[in-house]
Amino acid sequence: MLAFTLRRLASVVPVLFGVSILVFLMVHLTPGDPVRLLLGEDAEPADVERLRAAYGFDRPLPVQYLLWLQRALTGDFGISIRHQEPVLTLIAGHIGATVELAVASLVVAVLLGIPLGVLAAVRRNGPVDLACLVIALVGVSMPNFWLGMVLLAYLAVEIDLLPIAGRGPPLLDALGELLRTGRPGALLDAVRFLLLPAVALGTAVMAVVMRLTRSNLVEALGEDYIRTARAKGVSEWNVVYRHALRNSLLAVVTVVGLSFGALLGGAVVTETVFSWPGLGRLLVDAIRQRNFPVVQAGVLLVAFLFVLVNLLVDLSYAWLDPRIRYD
Amino acid sequence: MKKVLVALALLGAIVFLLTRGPIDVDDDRTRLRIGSTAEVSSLDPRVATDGASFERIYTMIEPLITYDTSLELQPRLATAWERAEDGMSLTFELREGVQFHHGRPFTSEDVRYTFEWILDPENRAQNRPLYTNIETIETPDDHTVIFRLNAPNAFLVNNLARMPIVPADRGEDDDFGRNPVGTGPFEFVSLRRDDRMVVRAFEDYWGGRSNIDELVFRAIPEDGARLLAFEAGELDLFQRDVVYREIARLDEDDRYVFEQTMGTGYLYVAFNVDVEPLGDPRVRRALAHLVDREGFVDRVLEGVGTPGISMITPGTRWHNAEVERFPYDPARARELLAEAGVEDGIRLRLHTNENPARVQLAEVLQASIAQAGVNLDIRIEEFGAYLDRIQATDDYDIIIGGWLGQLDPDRAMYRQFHRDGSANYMNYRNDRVSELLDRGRSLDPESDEALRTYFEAQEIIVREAPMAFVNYNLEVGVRHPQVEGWRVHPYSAATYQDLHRARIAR
Repeated sequence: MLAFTLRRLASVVPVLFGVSILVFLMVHLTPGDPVRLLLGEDAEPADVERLRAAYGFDRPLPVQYLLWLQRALTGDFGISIRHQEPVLTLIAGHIGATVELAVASLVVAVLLGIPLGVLAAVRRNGPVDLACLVIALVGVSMPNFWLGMVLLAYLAVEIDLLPIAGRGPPLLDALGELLRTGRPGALLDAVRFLLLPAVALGTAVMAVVMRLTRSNLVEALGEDYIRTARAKGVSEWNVVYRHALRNSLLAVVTVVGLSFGALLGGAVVTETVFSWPGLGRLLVDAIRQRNFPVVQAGVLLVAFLFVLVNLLVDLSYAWLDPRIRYD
Repeated sequence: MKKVLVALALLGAIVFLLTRGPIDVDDDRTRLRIGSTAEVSSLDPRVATDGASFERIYTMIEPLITYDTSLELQPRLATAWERAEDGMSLTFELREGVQFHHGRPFTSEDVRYTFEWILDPENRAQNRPLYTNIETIETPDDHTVIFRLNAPNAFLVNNLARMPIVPADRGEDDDFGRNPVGTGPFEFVSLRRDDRMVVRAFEDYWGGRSNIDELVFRAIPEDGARLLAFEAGELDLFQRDVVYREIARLDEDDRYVFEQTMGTGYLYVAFNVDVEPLGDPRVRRALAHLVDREGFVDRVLEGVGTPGISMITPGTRWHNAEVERFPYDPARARELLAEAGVEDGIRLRLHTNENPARVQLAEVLQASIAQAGVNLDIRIEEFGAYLDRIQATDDYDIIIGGWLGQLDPDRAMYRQFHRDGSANYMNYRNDRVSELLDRGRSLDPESDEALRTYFEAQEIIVREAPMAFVNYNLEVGVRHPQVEGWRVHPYSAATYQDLHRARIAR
């Protein structure tokens, strides 16, 4: 297990290296110059040249890459051209919001997806199953930006239940305050702001989780050991939850894990619709402004998290299914 | 059944708790919540270039002089200013008894520090070109500053009016851009990027403590979402980018106050005169007659704009109302093209960026110009690529672009229309115009001669039509009626500089 983990961690290095080269080439070969974008339509040519030189953009691309790599290896990801502040400070200010949103979406997906999937499997081919199928189909096919706007239009504007845009206090801070002072105000605010984006982002994953749970559970419920369990007189609840569901969850965990990676990088649209102050918005702005240092460090971080989550998913298999061993 | 009831009760409790009402009203501080169209780049005025940053900076850090809502210069940190007879120096008398937020008195040394920092090429000051006419800065005493110039520039005072003064003892802080200090009516509290920024009333403000205790700026870049947040009562006011289609509705609704005023910018179609047949003024004039300005303002801008005449905003004293007009007139355009010997079916390229108004203008133009036998190929580029093209190459025939912040005739004409102007994308070279623009800088801006000089330059440029002026921008904004004492500002960056005098009616 330890050897496997270490081997997998080592494989992260070439992946990140490859990602960094690809991102570097993509941002530098796209037309558009960060300094011109900064100074706008009335830039003085002399100032464009002066600032380009100050940032080293006048050097050949391979030199620029090596210089960047050299500094990055020592943990220095440079200064954001637009903000004139360290890239890591900027990313640190945004990553929390993105992780919070991704986790919340998965919580929504799992809390709704698994029970509905179980319900559909237990009552399969009945009206409940059909209703769940419709929910799943709609959930999967609806683009999340559209769902986001519909949710906003009804829940935030029409009946004015929840806030329209932005983020409340960070969830962890709010939890901290609840534990420290016993006052739930901050936590409630945090959840109020989080709810709609989490539902909008989590619905598609919820639909997949629901369908996977259903099909795997249906399969498991047909197995011999289930019949044996029932013959022993195990209650139906225990049959479904203790015996069948646990064996059906492997695929669900895979999907949830992979989705987490995708949500980290793919929450961009939802973050825009809900003005959520996450990494996606920082990156989209950075790409638009050709803010190379931010794009490079940001994409690298997302890639790293993605690989890390995949590793965790692999490791969790052994826990869910004791027959799986890594050596 | 019991389980279902418990679940429903729980759900009800959660909904009740979550919908108890908006946040930030848990105390009795007065507070204005302001929508921003973009997140700040930096709160350091020396390195920021965007309006969204300056909107917020001006609430905390003050310049020597400011523009009021009639675009007249008003004293701020300076109480008086004077231009020397020969135009080679500018003297400012500074206000006494002004404190920075960190408790130190403001002196002439801070003014010198700010501008010397900007002029030092080692520093990455993005606004440096505005100040390169400054040769040296003298501070004979704590409350006098003299700027000595290397060449007359009568309009330098307008550029000085834009730059907030940074305290010399804090300006080198690494985090000044996200934890700034100034002399303004509000002091910095916190910034969570892409989310919200808070400033609070500065107790020792020289102009008297603010009526409003706190300002909360929220960055909501989606125009639709920002307006929804305003209508839902999550924002109290904002200026810029009110969704055009919603303006008529907002204007009629008593729950909101919509306001608009003439802005400081315009949209243009520019012709590269080095490309044949655009070198011939008759061809450019023909194309100028094919721009349906009224139609564009009514149908595309939904009335948020006024038809363009020249590069100078109507209603300001520099605007020459007597310049030639180019009404939409395809017949006249065909005559002019025939005179110039342009054959039917020539092709020209039109480049612009993905800004929706510019793209729609390109399409409207393509249709109207086709009637005169000229085919336009529209090339839409991403903004970065478009800037590369117009600034670093000469590879374009016609472009659509815009200018903002045209606060004086020098700023509105020199860079764009002088033969050596840095933003003369048309490659327009008219000796008389260049001479007039050079002369304008050495004249007293209050004199009749200055007025005549810029009137003549305007007249020539409009007649020769290196550029067709499509529309002037309007500045738009909304507020709730209980917010009193704030008006939409023609120069949008300065719109919140006097919010300390606003009031919230009970």
